[in-house]
Amino acid sequence: MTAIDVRNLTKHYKVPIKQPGLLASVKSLFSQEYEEKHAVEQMSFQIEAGEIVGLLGSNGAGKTTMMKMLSGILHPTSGTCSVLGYTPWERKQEFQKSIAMIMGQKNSLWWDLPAADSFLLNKEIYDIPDKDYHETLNHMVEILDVKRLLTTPVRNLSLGERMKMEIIAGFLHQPKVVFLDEPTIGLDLTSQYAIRDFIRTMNSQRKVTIILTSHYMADIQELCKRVIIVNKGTKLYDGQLSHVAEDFSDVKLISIDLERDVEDAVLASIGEVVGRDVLKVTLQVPRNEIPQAIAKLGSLPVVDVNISEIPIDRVIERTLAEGKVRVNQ
Amino acid sequence: MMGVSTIRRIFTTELQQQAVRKVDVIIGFFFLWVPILLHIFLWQAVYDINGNAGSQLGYTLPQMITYFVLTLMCQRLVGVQIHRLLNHQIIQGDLNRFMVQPLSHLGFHYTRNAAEKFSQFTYLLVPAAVLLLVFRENIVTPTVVNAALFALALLLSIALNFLIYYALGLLGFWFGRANQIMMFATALISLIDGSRFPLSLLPTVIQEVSWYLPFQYIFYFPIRIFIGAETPETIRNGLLIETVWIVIFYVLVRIFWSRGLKRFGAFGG
Ligand SMILES: Nc1ncnc2c1ncn2[C@@H]1O[C@H](COP(=O)(O)OP(=O)(O)OP(=O)(O)O)[C@@H](O)[C@H]1O
Ligand SMILES: [Mg+2]
Repeated sequence: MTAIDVRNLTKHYKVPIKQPGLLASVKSLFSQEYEEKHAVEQMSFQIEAGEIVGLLGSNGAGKTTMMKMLSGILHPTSGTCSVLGYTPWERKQEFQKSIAMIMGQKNSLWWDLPAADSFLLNKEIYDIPDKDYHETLNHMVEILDVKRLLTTPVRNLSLGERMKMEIIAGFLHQPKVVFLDEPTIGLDLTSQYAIRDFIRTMNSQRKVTIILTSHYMADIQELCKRVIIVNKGTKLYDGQLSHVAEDFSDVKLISIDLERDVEDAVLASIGEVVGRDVLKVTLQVPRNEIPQAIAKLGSLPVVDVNISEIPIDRVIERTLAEGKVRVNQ
Repeated sequence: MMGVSTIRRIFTTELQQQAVRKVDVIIGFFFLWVPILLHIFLWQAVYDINGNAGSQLGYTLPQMITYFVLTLMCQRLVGVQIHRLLNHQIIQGDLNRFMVQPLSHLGFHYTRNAAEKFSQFTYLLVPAAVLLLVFRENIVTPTVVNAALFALALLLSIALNFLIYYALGLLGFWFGRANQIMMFATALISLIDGSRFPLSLLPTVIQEVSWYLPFQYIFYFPIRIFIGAETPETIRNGLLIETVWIVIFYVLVRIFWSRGLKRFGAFGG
């Protein structure tokens, strides 16, 4: 069954050009000039019920805009979209009751009160029967291990703890489709792990259809078989993650700050130099060669070292450069 | 429309949220004594110096003192910040929640406001009763009927005031960050809602016009009922006009909201 059907969806933001000041504001009531910002262009794709699809793209690619149209917040400029048979921006109550949108950067919980109070409000908003409510809540609280935090005022929770609560609030009414916009942003590894685990469980046990955006490759690799890569609002790739990211799962980036200049050849003997800005160098090294690489660095005038995952942007860049993509299919 | 159980839940949750700030609020009331004493001394001096002040200003000394004491208390019971909140939400795109959830923005915030005012009222009750007792020589003791009509008018004014400022906040859909416009509007409203001084001190023309505008019903009208400055006939007419304004603003707000949301949906969240 197709859960989400998007055809030629396009969003051009109209941005009012305005001068500051009261007088200018009043003037703008009568004549207003606009600038168009092309955020999403002619996007089409279908998502089956029960899929988890990763929406990948660098900053400003149009991911959030896409999610906002799918959840009914924004009207598209043109194109059609059906989610569970509904047109999202008509905002029918039955539609609203079967979806959730969770944004990593927004807070929807009652700030001074324990999260449990916000959950109770959601119970009323969504008309959740007592039995379902307690079952779902207990289950989710257990998976995310936040039972002891249910009575702590939200303002006293850490970022990761608060995000877990946001996610519980979002899943409480057992939505069929969930949009997760950077749910792990700014979280430490343990929290990222817990949330990933939770999303996987919800998908496998409840068959929730999920669209996920994240700038962490690990999120995408752990959760999504299928990815849609967008760049400047257009779809570049739609298909299996394994086709684009196979060579990336096993490499890491080592960023070093040097005290003085070192010859390229010396650096190249440690790993592939993928970035160089005089004394700042980024090396790409296979995971299993990291120990040797570190050992070799010992003989260089290094002031700082940082090891990280390959960022998604680089995956996208490489994918583009290597011509692996089928543009607009 | 929101269900009764949703309204009840929002109401009780907001009461709890208010309870968190209880100490703050009660200390705030404690400081009301200072301006109240100030008004008592000030107006006593004015009326002492000018033996004829009563007939010139249209109020007896106790009426005048009571007027200003009540403006201070009523501002706590009626005043809102919803315009700022709403404007902020519009600019920040924080309306998302109300578009994704089957939850009415107006209903949600109106209920929260009602709960906030209810808890303010309960906190205010004891200090106000003590004040009335201590200063019973200096202020008007209303008749039971006037006290009841005052309470009714004040309930209506809570609704009207909320809707007026909600409408003001909705301008954010068209103006974006509308701080200056809102400051200008609130300053203007405060001149003709009776919160700064009794409108009867203004030229007669303005008073006549003001009778048909919504603003004097926020503070001026209820307080005049309390101090016994309105007749049964003017009270009846006033309550009627106030109700009509509530309906007008309710309709206006609904229209602004759906227009604004369309714009919001087109321009971006
Ligand atoms: N409300 C808005 N008004 C005008 N332009 C907007 C608005 N929201 C987003 N844009 C623009 O549309 C483009 C797409 O933005 P969007 O937020 O969808 O990107 P994104 O892929 O989610 O990026 P990020 O990874 O940074 O979250 C950007 O160029 C952005 O500047
Ligand atoms: Mg985004």
